[in-house]
Amino acid sequence: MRKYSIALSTIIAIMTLSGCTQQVASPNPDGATMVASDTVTLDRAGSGSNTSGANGRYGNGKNSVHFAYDSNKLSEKERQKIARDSSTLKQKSEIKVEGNSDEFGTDEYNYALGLRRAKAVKDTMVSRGVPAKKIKVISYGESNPVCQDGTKNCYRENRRADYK
Amino acid sequence: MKTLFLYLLPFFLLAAPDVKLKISKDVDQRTSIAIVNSSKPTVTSKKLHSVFVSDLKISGHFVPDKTYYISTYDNGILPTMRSKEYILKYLFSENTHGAVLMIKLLRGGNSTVALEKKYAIPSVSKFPFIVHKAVTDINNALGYRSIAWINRYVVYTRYTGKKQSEIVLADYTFHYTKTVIRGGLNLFPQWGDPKQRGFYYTSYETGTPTIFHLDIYTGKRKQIVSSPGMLICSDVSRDGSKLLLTMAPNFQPDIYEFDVSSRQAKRLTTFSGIDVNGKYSDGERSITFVSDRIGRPNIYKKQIGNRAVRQLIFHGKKNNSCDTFGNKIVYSSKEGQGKFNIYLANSAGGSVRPLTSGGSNQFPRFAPDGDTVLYIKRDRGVNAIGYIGLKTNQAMLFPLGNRKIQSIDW
Repeated sequence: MRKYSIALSTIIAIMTLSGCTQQVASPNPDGATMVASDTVTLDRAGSGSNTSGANGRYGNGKNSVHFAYDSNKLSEKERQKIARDSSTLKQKSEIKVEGNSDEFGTDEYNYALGLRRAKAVKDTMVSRGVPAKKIKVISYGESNPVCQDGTKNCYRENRRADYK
Repeated sequence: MKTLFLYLLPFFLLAAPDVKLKISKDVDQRTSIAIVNSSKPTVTSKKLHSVFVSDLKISGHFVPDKTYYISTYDNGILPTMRSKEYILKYLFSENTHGAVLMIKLLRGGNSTVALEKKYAIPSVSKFPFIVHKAVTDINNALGYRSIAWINRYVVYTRYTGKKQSEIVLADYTFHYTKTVIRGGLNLFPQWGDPKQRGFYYTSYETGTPTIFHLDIYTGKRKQIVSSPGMLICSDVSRDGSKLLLTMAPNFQPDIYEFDVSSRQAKRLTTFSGIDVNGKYSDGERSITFVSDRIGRPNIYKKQIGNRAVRQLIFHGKKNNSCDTFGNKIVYSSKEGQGKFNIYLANSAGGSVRPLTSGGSNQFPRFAPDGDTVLYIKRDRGVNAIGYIGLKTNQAMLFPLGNRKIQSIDW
């Protein structure tokens, strides 16, 4: 009977107090303090552009340019590559440029660096006659590595901007 | 004995201080305490012992005996425990509606009861929180400085694949973890209120970076603002009315203050390079932030409404992340290939002192009381979450697995 009473009190407390925040702990009639109400889980897989998901590298790196560590400056070689591609890009109705970084540095800075790299590519395309309004720019920071070997070559591969 | 040793070994390894800290509070001044499991010795009830030890240690007020004692709940204490100032007995039981924890704090000298309480939890997986609450109450009952921060959720993002991540809730020891958002690329969670009812985060699901607010108890999701290129909520004002955002409407990352009610964004920085990681300072009259305005990332400060920007930190070559609390700042500094350490300074940039050494130590975050710093450590391929008590000089590490952490808040 006593066990039944304890169980009943616990049920009542859970039902009454669900929705309380993590820090709020309230006593139930049985004297037990209720702790940590349940939280939700949101599944956003398949929502919006999430369906396109992990499409890391465009065309086996043919449409990627690379950058030095912590830099958003394009080398002359990379500028020429973009210039060569520009005539093809002009034919497209929309061009997407994605900026990326290696795993070094921290969260926000890497996303800003990725954006600056994507912007550098966009500016070069525009200077070669690609209409600015066609170009969409976005940063994926360190979330889209092409390799994770932990080698210098690998880090270099990840310091890049992709375009298609 | 061998089993006991193997059980405690991971704890000893993880409990090793991360840096040589000056121990200002002598061990003898702390309260000695033994922890006794009076429950059916299940896997979970054994884990409770480990969490009790962690909580009591990180408080800085106790010297917990790491020995795993087993004894009945209602009888007195073993003679070998009499030398302890306190003996904590716990009785944990699971039922179909969750779990119940009973605790009894006995004085070592005369076995009298100093505190007796009972707790209930709706899910067994949340057992760490029931321990954290019990230790908070024990700490308060003995009149020690509050350690309420141990009851808080940690929210973090971990990468699960290319352009894929999930946002996870955890207790501070990471014994409890639960995914709250899975699928797609969801980043930069930032608590939206002191009671942790919900958080802001950046979603890429619309194709344009968008900040949403999610109520973790009801699941209600609200779209806040979108901006091309990148968009991050870096800080929330104390009353929740304003957000500090890193936004780039013209592909130029700058810091903006966003009014949640009016949905108006005010640009606070105008440098042509990178300005990110805005944190409120000086009672929200100023912001401290990361900028590469001298060619490499460093920590700067400016008053809101004033154009003048001043460099705050003159130590280190690349300081690329920071957090603020009152008159303190913590920041991570790059000190070699893949090597980062965390430093503490005052809000004027002086009195710099190291908090970590070895490996990669990043994402420094103050606890809500400003006396504890959380960070992520990566050393030889192993991830861990670390805590440093600035007043207690206690340092602890807990393993995180091998998935890369993107960002974290608590």
